[in-house]
Amino acid sequence: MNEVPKDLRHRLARRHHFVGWWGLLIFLTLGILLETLHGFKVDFYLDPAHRNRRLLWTLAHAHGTLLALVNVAFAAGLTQLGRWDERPLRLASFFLIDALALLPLGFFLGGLGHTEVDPSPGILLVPVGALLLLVGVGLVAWAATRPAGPPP
Amino acid sequence: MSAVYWTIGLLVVAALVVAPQAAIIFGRRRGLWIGLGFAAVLVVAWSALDRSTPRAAPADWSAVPSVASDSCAKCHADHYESWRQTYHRTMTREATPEFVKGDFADAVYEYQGLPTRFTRSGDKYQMKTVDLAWAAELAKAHGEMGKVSPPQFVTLQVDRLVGSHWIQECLHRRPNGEYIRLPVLYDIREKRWIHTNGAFLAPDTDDFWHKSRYASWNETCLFCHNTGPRKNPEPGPRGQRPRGYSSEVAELGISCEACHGPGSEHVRRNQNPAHRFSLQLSNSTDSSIVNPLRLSVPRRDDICARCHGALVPKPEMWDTKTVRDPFIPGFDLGRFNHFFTSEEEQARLYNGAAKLSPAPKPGPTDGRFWGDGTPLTTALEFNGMALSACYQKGQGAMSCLSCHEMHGSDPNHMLKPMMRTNEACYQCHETYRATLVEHTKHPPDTPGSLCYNCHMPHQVYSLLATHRSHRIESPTLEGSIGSSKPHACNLCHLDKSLGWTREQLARWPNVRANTVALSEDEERIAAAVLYLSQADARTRVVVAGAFANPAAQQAAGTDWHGSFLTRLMAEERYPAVRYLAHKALKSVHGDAAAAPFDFLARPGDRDRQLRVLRERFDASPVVRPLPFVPLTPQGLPDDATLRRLRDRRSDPDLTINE
Repeated sequence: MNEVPKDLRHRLARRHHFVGWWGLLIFLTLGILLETLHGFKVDFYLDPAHRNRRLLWTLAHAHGTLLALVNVAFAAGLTQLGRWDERPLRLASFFLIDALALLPLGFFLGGLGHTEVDPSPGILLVPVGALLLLVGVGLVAWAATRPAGPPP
Repeated sequence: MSAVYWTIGLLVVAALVVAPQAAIIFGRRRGLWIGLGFAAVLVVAWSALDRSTPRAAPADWSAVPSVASDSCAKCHADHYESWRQTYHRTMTREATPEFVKGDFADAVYEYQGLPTRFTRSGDKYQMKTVDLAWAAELAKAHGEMGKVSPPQFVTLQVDRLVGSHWIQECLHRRPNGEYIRLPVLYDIREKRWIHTNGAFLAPDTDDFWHKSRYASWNETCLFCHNTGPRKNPEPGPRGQRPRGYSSEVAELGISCEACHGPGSEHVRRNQNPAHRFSLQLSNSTDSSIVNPLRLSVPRRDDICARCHGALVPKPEMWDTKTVRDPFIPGFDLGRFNHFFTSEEEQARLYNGAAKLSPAPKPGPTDGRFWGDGTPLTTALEFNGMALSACYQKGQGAMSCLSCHEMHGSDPNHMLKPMMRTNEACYQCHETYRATLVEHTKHPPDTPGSLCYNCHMPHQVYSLLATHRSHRIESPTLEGSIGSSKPHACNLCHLDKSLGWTREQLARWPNVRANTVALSEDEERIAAAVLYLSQADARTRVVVAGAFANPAAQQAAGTDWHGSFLTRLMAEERYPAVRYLAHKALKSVHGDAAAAPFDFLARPGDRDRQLRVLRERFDASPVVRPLPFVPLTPQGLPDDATLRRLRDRRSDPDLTINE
């Protein structure tokens, strides 16, 4: 496999900056929205019968925010650190973005139409997103572990 | 869309996100295969997980092990929490600080001049009370202390508790595993200790252990006040009581499995998320658990009737060794038990006799049913409902759950929202919403316009309180004359005679009230006065309770209560009647004006207390006309009439064991 050209690193870094910061904006907004629901004591969110929704939407907010920061961190480090081959890099990039979309979306959809026992089937997006996240982070970890190659 | 399609659809959508990305990296063809392969792996894995759990109902429900209610909380947090609020849960508990209601801080309660002391050491509770054998000696001597040896006391540990709502009974575990009821119990409402002789409807007795001598939890309370009961008696000599017990329950108190059946299979199957989603998405019934709402009305009501119905086990259907209750929610209760409709029939069935048709009618001292078959105690609500036209002609429209719900309702009576109002009846009788006043002939928003007050009056007694009858019926004089059951109208119109009631009933169409022949006293003397002076203790206790009912106080006024009740309490030999009459006085005049009086004080002390009260109330004679209340021209009770009525009292010994 070939070492990744610098411009690809830059292109991907720009993409992750874009996705990460916009993701952060969206999920921080979700957090503020949830606090507003608390503030106005909205039954739809706070009623004891909806404790699953409260948990799931909180998880959506938390995971979204955290994964947005992961994407920003990935972007920040990509141009400077890690020894990457092209395919693993592209995969890691896709999977980190997939995880940012699927995990919070799964939690959010799970909280819509949940039952007392379980989230709604939207929650099925979560294990898929989690799997992709694990692979993506694993690839980043692998790249960070490899000895530095010659400068591109 | 079926569960399978839903699941496959979602997983495929998720997995196809991967395909274009893989195509960019690995090329179109390989990318497509990678995406499809990823989706296929997910779908196959999920389907395999779903299919690993069976769907069919357990073949043998009685072989399904029980689980504790905590197991249910993991998934059904809301239902668990709402159940935790109920008195069902705390019906039976171990005597621990969390559940003990009584005052054990070295409190002393005196009954018949004999002290009982309540103490606590750490988390253990003790009751030092009269020795059982010595109490028998005293009873033989008719309560004359001078004729027996000095009092002997015994300290007994309180091991278990029954009740947490009205009254809490204390149980002591004997070495042979039998739990016996101790002779003093705690009245939670009044926040005081009371003797068991006064807690149930029974006449005064000299026997300190009278109501506890044979009160064995293993023989009685075990079956309805717990979940998954198994008596496990150790047989004694033929025809005698068991030598001991190793009784077991799935859970103390009435927990989830009492209504939903044994739950271990349900818990096991639902560990599987694919199984749960599959059930959820296909809206299928989970056959590993019973949902009463999905049962037919008879099977649904059987669950309630198991404890709120009059049952005698069919011995051939019970395992005589374990005496385990074979009923499981969803089964036909009648397969394992006979329903009885009188104490005579109950006794016959217990002794192995065949069920008679027609069943024997309740006798004049029946402690469970009025003469017309209406239940007169609690715990028989199903029998009452089953006698109702609403139930019999309702073609399955009516069940216990028409008005009650076990989750989320007010724990006190467990009624659904609005079911304390006429909305309960409007569920089927919608037309009365528009014609209420025409139908009730009472002004709107008055107690007389509340359907319950006429059709489900307080004709039931238990635990020092009156309760609504669950036999929904139109009040007729025929139903009351000769049955001892006080007439619904006169439970509010305490100051009116049965003759007055007959005339009023004639205003309703289709009421054949005029055919009933009444005696002269019934024509002209207030029914409540007649009942309290002449009727048996069952009637007296219900009528005494009516005097404390705000609806009755509004209908009949309260200015005559004090003078009458203090007179009628004077010769009352049933403590429960005295208690409710005094409660009525307190509700009208306040605690201070109705004190001092202890319904369980010794006769001499009570007489003195009542004399003080009578003089106090006589100082305010009645100044308005009360044509049916026997008053002197001075506005005081006519003692000669009361004496004449009292001399004709029918007062057999009888007991209500609820």
